Amino acid sequence: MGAAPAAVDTSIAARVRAEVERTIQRNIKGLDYLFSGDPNLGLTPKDTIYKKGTLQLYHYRPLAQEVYRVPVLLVMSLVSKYYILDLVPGQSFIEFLLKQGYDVYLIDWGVPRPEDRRLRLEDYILDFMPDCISRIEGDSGEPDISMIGYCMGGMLAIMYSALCPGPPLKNLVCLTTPVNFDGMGLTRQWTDKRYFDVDRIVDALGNVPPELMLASFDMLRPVARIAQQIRLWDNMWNDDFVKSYRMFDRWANDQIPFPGECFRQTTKELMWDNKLYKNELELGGRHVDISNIRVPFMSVMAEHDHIVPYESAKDLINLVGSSDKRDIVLKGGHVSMVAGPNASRRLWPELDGWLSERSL
Amino acid sequence: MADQKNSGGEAFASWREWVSQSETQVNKLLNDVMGTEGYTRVLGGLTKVFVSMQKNTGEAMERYFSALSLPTRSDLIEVGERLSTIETRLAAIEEILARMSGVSASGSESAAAGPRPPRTKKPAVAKKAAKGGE
Repeated sequence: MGAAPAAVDTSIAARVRAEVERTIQRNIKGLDYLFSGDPNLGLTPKDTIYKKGTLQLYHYRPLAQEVYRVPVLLVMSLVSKYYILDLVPGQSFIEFLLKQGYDVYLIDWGVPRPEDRRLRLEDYILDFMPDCISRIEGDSGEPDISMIGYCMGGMLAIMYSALCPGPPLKNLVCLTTPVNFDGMGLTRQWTDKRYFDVDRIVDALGNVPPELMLASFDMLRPVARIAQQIRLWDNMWNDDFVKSYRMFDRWANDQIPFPGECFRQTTKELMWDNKLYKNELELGGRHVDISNIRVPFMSVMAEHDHIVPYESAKDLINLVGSSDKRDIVLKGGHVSMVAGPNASRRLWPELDGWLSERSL
Repeated sequence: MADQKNSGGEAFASWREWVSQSETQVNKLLNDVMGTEGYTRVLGGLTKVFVSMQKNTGEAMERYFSALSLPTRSDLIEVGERLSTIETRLAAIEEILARMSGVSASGSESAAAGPRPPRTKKPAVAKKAAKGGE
């Protein structure tokens, strides 16, 4: 009869002891955290095979004995840094692809300079992307290419594919890609044309400053940063947690400006008029019709994506003209779907399974 | 983020749960307010003020630097644009020269990568099927 209370006492004592130890560790490691530099990310070995302005086209060095015939091109968003796809060994999407035997290229748009304020979607889709693709054809010697676009990169990939639906494009994968801007939730509300003076912003500032972009992302989850700080303090004793936190925190704060004219165009033609979804968008005088896309297509959405809500991405599958097409919704958020432990368990193997059969 | 399962049965587990729940609830509450037309109007107004301030400060600085005969931001952007044009033309010339000499413009970096693996890989399923058919 007396054994149970004694066990409880021991358990409580052990818990208190563990908590005291953690508190000490928090203080020691908290000091380390404050005085150590940012983690190094995006270090998978690569070569720059093409440069134009701030754009760099990378070719990653293979990590497999043999590779699939069709090279893969990753297209990043204009408003975030590419290294979210290449965090650290073991948590890098690019490293995963290389180890699975893909020949990987990536378009890094770089950080727009003030003189890039005049760049429009046409420049990216009808000039930079075709340039990069022809370089990849030359570099790889292959006539085909698979394209994977993430977030706004997916949107660029969709527009390119709609305008250039034939070879060399062989497969298209869109990760958390918005197409119906009426489903963009709060972002759509905040850019209401009655109150959001996009012309004034672009005319006065040129490129949209990264602080403004960061503030708008933060506003979507107003107390997330505070909660993250609390969790960080709570887990300061846990090296793995702190390492992971620092990687994602560095990327999230490393915002880049949005090229001014491109922002104006995106706001007016996509956010306000929803032209891509309504099949009314024209770039360089050419009609962007998503139904022109006939190559094998895969769209992946995140269940808890607050930046590109499900409502804004779900119709993409119905708009493409491919007969071989698939869409899936995975657990996770906008970032955790592509990077980190959640991605390595869910998205990466799923994508590999689909793409490997189509990369021969 | 990192695995937090090991902290599940600890003394502070309920407090952690409370933090998570509060975060969700407060986010939702604030998002509801932020989703109203009134908030959008205020946000639009604040953005206008911010942009006007930036613009006025920029113009004042331009006048100040001009008075001191120093290059202004627009001067630097103009120089940047010219440099960018020169860069593009140089790259095109490099490309032509490389093509004429039969070497890739990025030859030096590609060479560092060493020989490339053959493009013969097959997915695991296809390999199994091929073996089964043999």
